[in-house]
Parts: sequence; structure tokens; C-alpha cells
Amino acid sequence: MRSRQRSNVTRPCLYRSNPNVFEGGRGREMTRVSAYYPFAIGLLAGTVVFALADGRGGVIGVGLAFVVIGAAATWHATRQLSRPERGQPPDERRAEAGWPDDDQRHAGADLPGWQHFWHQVMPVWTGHLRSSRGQSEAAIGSLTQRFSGIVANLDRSVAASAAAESASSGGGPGGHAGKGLVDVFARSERDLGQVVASLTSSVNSKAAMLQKIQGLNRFIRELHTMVADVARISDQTRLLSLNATIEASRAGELGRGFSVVAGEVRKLANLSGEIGGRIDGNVAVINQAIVEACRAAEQSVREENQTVATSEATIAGVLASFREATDALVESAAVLRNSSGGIKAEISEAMVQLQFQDRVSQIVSHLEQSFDRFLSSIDEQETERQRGRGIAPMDPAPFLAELRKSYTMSEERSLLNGSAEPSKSTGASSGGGGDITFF
Amino acid sequence: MAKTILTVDDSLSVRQVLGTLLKSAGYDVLEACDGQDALSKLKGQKIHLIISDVNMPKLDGIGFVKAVKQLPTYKFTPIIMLTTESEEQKKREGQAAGAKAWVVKPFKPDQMLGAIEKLVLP
Repeated sequence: MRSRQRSNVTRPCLYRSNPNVFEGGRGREMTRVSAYYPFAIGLLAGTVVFALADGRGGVIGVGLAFVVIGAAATWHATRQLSRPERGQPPDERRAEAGWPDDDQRHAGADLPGWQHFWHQVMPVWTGHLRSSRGQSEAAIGSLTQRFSGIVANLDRSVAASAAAESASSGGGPGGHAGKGLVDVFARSERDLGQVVASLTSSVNSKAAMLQKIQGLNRFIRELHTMVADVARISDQTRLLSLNATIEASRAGELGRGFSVVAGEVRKLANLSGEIGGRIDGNVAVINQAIVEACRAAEQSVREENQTVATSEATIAGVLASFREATDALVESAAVLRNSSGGIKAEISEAMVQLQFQDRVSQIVSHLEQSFDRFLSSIDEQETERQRGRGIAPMDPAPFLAELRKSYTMSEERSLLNGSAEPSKSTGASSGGGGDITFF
Repeated sequence: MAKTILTVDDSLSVRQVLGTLLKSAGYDVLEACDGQDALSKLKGQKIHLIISDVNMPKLDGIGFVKAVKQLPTYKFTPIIMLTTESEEQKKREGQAAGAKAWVVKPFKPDQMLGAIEKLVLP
């Protein structure tokens, strides 16, 4: 803890860095040394943030801001210190302006000035830190929200793609059996096949009928033969009747009756000959009609066969195109699903890496707390000075102990202990993270 | 029916990262920004597992776990502490409070899902 010094020696040890300067030097020399503290603090804070930045632009910017602010404060302090050297105002004017004289400064009377300085500067630094932390939290929060939305959309795309693929491939686990494109394709192919089969059956029936009609030709030929037989019998009968008439005339009066019979027989023979001729004519007409019908039927069968063949080819072509489109759809659905899954995995991994924000935010909040503690320490020093108790050197041990107490991460503790390098990465793959202990 | 997990963290980004991971794994997710908020969200819900940060405003993780273990409905609900804190003393405090596991941030998704699968109640 803070060690109390001799009462007649007041030591602005808060800014002391060189014991030799403190013991034997002037207050100005001590203050000149201490003017570099802002830069040192800024550099330290910047280094911490750089170490944890892991190449992230925003965080590096915060670290850079620390260094720049520290450098600016140091420049300002050294400039202020150098002015009196170039042209200090007379003692009376310095007194009027409230400047401490050398003895006062030597006795730590410049502490109020520094207190004023730190109370002006430190809240600005803290404000910058808080602002950076807030902006970082808001930006990363917004980023993770957007990533989360993208992942949700990809989930929906993957689900829709999987459903489409499942449906396209005819169902399966989670799919709708019977509603897939392949099922539709198979059903269409089956239905169209039935149409073609019906057409083919119709053509075959017509061909069978044609064959039966063509079979009638045989009967026509038999009819012709029969008609020829009838004509021949008629001729022979007429010849016989003629011979009978001749023989009857020879027989004279006795053959007269036979002659009448022979005449009737001849008439019948003539009649049967005429009928045979008419039958032959009708058979010829029927034959011609059958021949023409067969010719027309053959033409029709040929055309229908051609139509069936064309229909089959067209249906096969349409089904092939449909199959091609279905296969392409199935393939594209699979590609889409795989791509979406890959993108989703990448984004999920990127989101996990965004956990760095929580860690950086904690580190910055610890710095803020430390700055507040620093201001409190200065106030305590000033209170001690006003009570005339002198200013004890500020002991870094409790200050650092308090800082250590606020730490939660091993990297912070390692940095403070100087025992190890801080982690160069704050991602999920960095060492120290992801350790699981089951109780 | 999907299991419901309550995530408690004052960091929005951590809650969103967890939410996205858990939803992708098929869990329903409820979110709370601190221990007090989480206690209010437990009412009237069937929570199968809780993932809680340790350092939070209003009511920290250890206090929250102790409070949950006082609730008859959630007495046996497994709790995973997810924190940057890796000190053994803190872990012992978590264990004494009733936590079932201690995960040091940044977590690895596979490990986290494995731990959840191991602990989540049927």
C-alpha cells in the first residue's frame, strides 16, 4: 500500500519515474519526465488493443487512437513546460495568474494542475473508449443480426431445395411420395403408353378385319366356280334337251309329249343359264367392292400405322425432354442445396469468430475502470496534499491488483504478469477458448 | 417437439451467435440480457437447458444459477456457464451454485452442441 514519506518532503511521486531526478532534481525536471506518461499510457493501451486486434481494422483504429491521443497529450504537456523556459513571466504576473513558484512546485503544488489536467483529459479518453466500445458493440450486433438473417434465409432455401429435390426424386424421407416430378413423369409415360397401345390395338383390329375381308375373296372365287359349273350344267342340260327334242321328233306322234318335256327342260336350262350369268355378274360386283374396300382398308391401316409410329416417336421425344428437364432440376436443386449449406456453414463460422467483440468489449471496459481508478488516485493524492500530509509515492501494486481483480481472461492476466504473450487471436480457434469442464 | 434453450448474456452478439447456432441445430431459443431478465423469462416456460454468462449487470451468472436452483420447476434444469472467465476458483463457484458445465469463451460450435446434447433433458 501507499507508504507515507517524511512530512517535510512532499513528493509528486505519481509522476515520478527516475529516483535520481526525484531526489536531487527540480520539480520542473520531474514534471518534464512525467509529461511522457500520457504517451506511455496511450502506447500501452494501444499495444494491448493491437495485440487483441488480430488484423481487424476497427479495433486497430481504436489502438491507434490511444497512441495518438497519448502522443498528443505528451506533446501538449512538453510544449507547456517549454514555454516558461523561453520566456517566463515575471514573478508577480505568475503569482497573479496563480502559477506555482518553484518552491511550491517542488513541494508538489503542481498536483492541482495535473489533477485538473487529468480530470479534463481522462473523461475524454474514457468517452472515446466508451464510444468505441458502443460503436463496436452496435456494429457487431448489427452484423451478427444480418448474418443471423442470412443463415435463416439459407435454412429456408436449403429446406425448400431439399423438398424440391425430394419431390423431384419421387419422395423419400420427408418427401411427398407420388407428387414428385419423377412420379409425374412415370405416370405420364404410362398414360401416354396406354394411348399409343390403344391406337396400336385399333390399327391391329382394323388389320384383322382387313384380313377377314380379304378372306372373302376365296368365297368369291368359289362362287365364280359354282357359277361356271351352273353355266356348264345349264349348257349340257340345254344340249340334252335339244337331243331329246330331236329324238322325240323321230319318234313321231309318240314322241310329241316327250318333245314338250324336252322343250320345258331347255327353257329351264336357259333360265338357269341366265340366273348363273346374273349371279356371276353380281359376284363380280361384290368382288370389285371387296377389292376396293380392302384397298381402302389397307391404305387406312398403313396411315394409322404411320400415325402410331409418329405418335410414339413424338411421345418418346417429349418424355426424353421432360426427363432431361427433370434431371436438370434435380441436379440444380442438389447443387443449390449443397451450395446453400456450404455458405451457411461459412457464415455460421464467421459469426462464431465475431465473439471477439465480447472479449474486446470486456478488455476496454476494464481499461475504463482502470482510468476511473487512476483519477480517484489523483484525487486522493490531492486530498492528502491539501491536508498537509505530503504526497506519498503512488504504489502501483494495489492499482494493478485492482486491475487484475477486474480481469476475466487469461490473456489479460498473462499480459499483466508479463509471463506470456497475449493471444494474437480472439477467434474461436484461439487458445484458451472453447475449454469445457463438466461438473 | 423441439427442446427450448434459454441463453443469458449481456452481449447481443454472443446471444445472436448462440441463437443462430442453436436454431440451426433444431432447438427453440429464448434470450435474456442478464440474470434478472432471465428469471422473468423462466415464468410459464418449459426450458430444457440454460446457457448463462457469468459477468452480467443487475444479476450475475452465479447469482442467477443460485436463484434458478431455488425454483422447484427448474431445480433439475441443466445449466452451462459460458464465460471468458477461466479461473478455477470461479469454476468452483459455478459448480457450487449448481452449474453442470463451464465453457470458456470463445466457444467452439461443435463442442458447445456436444455439451448441450449431453446435458439436455429429454
